Amino acid sequence: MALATVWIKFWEAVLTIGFGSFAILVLIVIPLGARDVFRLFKKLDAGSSQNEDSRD
Amino acid sequence: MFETQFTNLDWGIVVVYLVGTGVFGMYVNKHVHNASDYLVGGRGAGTALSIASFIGTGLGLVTLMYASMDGFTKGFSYLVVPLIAFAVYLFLGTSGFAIKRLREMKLTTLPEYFEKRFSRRARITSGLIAVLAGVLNMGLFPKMGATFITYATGLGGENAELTVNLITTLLIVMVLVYTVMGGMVAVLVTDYIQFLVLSLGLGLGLWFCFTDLDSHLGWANMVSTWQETKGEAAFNPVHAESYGWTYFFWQIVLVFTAGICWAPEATRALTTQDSATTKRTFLFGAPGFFVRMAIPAVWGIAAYTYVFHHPELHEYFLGENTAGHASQAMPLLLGKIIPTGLLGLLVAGLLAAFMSTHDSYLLSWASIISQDIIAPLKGVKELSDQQSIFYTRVSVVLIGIFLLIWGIWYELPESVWTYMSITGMVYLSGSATALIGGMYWKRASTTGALWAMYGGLLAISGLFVEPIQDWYEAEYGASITYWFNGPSLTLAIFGICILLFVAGSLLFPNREQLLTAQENE
Repeated sequence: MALATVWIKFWEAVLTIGFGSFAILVLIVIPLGARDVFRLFKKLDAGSSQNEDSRD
Repeated sequence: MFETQFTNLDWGIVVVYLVGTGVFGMYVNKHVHNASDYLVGGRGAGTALSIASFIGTGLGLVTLMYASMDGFTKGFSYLVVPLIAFAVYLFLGTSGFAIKRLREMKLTTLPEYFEKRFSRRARITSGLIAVLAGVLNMGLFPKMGATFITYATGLGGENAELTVNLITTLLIVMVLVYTVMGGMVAVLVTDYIQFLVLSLGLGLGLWFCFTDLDSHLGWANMVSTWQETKGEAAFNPVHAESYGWTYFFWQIVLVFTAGICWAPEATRALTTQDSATTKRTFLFGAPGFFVRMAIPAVWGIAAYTYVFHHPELHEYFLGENTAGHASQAMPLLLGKIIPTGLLGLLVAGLLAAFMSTHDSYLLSWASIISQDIIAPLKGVKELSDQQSIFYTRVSVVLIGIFLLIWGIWYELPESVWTYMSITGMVYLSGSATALIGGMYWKRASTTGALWAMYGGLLAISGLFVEPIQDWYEAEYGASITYWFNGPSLTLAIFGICILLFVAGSLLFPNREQLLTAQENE
C-alpha cells in the first residue's frame, strides 16, 4: 500500500472519531448547559443577597 | 465570479440574531453584582456550561479562517494540528497537570499565580508580557472576520480592501459595546448560545462539503484532487514539502503550553465551580478543540477542490498570489454551496463566534491589565469592585482602538496560524516555563522566573523571519528557509527560556530558600 494511501485511511479514521465524538458532546452539552445557565443566575443572585444580609 | 447565494433574507437573519444576542447579553448583566461576577462569573459555571464556553471561546471566526487558509494551502496535512490539540486536552483533562493546581489556588487571573509563587514583580512582568503577546496575537482577528463577511456575503471582489476595512471597524465597535456592558457572565451565557448555533453551522458546512457532488466536492473528489496536484505532501505532515518535523514538535509545545497558560482559554480553568469541574471541562472539551480546527481545515481542503474544478477561479486563487488570496477561498465556497436562508444562519453563527472569541480575549487581557498591572503598581492588594470594573472597561476600549489601527494597516501574512503561534510564544515560552517550573520544582526562584519571561520576549524576532529569509536569499543566492524559520527560531527561544529559568534559580535562590538551606545545615 502506498504511503499516501495509508495517510488517507488514517485521516479518514481521525475525522470519523473526532467528528463523531463532537456530535455526541453537542447532544449532551446543549440540555445540560441550559440547566447550568439557570443555576449560575440563581447562584449569582443568592451570593448578592447574602452579601447584602451580611452588610445589614 | 465572487457572487454568492447570500440575499436580503440572509441579512435579515443575521441582524435579528445579532441584535437578539446583544440584548440578551445586556439582560444577563443584571445578575452581575461585583467584580468577581464580572471577571470570573462568580466561579459558578457548571461542567456543561464551562465546556460550551471553553469551546465557544476557542471556536472563533478567526480560528475558522486561519485553519481554512492552511487547509487550502497544505491540504490534509494541516489536520495534524487539531489532532495534537485533541491529544493535549485529553491529557490535561485526565491528568489535571497544572490546571488542577491553578483552580485550587482560587486565582482571578493567571499572572496572580506568579505573585503567590514568586513575587509581585514577577506578576507585573508576566502581566505586561501577556498583554503585549495577547494583543499582538489578536491583532489580525477583526480583519480576518471582516474578510469572511465580505466574501461569504458576495460583497467581495478583486479590490475589496475598503469594504473589508469598513466591516472591520463595524465589528470592533459592536464587540466593544458588548464586552464593556456584559463582562464574564454575558461571555459565559452567550458562549453557550453560540456553541449551540455554531455546532449546527459547522455541521451544515461540513455536510455540503461532503455531499455537493455537482460542485465536484465530496470526500473522494477532495482526496483525488489533492493527490493529483500535491501528491503525498498533501497528506503527510512531516513530508519535506509539507510542514516537516520541526513544525510538528513546535505545535506540540505550543498547544500544550497554551492549554495551561494562554489566558483566554486557561481562564476557563479558573471560572469553574471546583478543580474536578476544571478537569472535566478540559477532558470533554477535547473533541471541541479538535473540530474547531479540523472542520474549517476540511472547508479549506474543499475550497481548493472547488477552485481546481472551476477554471474561471484559477488565475485569482491558483496564480502567483495563492497564499494572499487563501483567506477568501473558504468564505466564497460556503457562499456558493450553501443555500439562501441556511447561509444567513451560518453567517450569523460565525459572526457570533467572532463576538464570543473577542469578548473572551478582550476581557482576559483587560482583566490582566487591571488586576495584574494597575493594582500592583498602585500598591494595593486588590482593587475595589468599582475600580476593577472601571479599569477593565477602559482597557477593553484601549485594546479595541489598537485592534482597529492594527487590523486596518497590517497586511495579512501568508499563514495567519504561524503568525499567531509566534506571537503566542512571546508569552508562552517564558511564562509556561516559570509556571510549570514553579509548580513542580522546589528550587525555582523569582530571578529564574523573571529571566525566563524576559527570554520569551526574544520570540518577537520570529515576526521578522520572512524579511530576513528574503534578504539572505537576495544577498547570497541561497535559501536558509529549511533551518531558519519561525518554528525553529521560537523552539530555540523556548529552550533558552528553560536554561535561563534553571540558571537564574540556581544562581539566585529566593531568600527563604537560602534560610531553609542554612537551617538544614
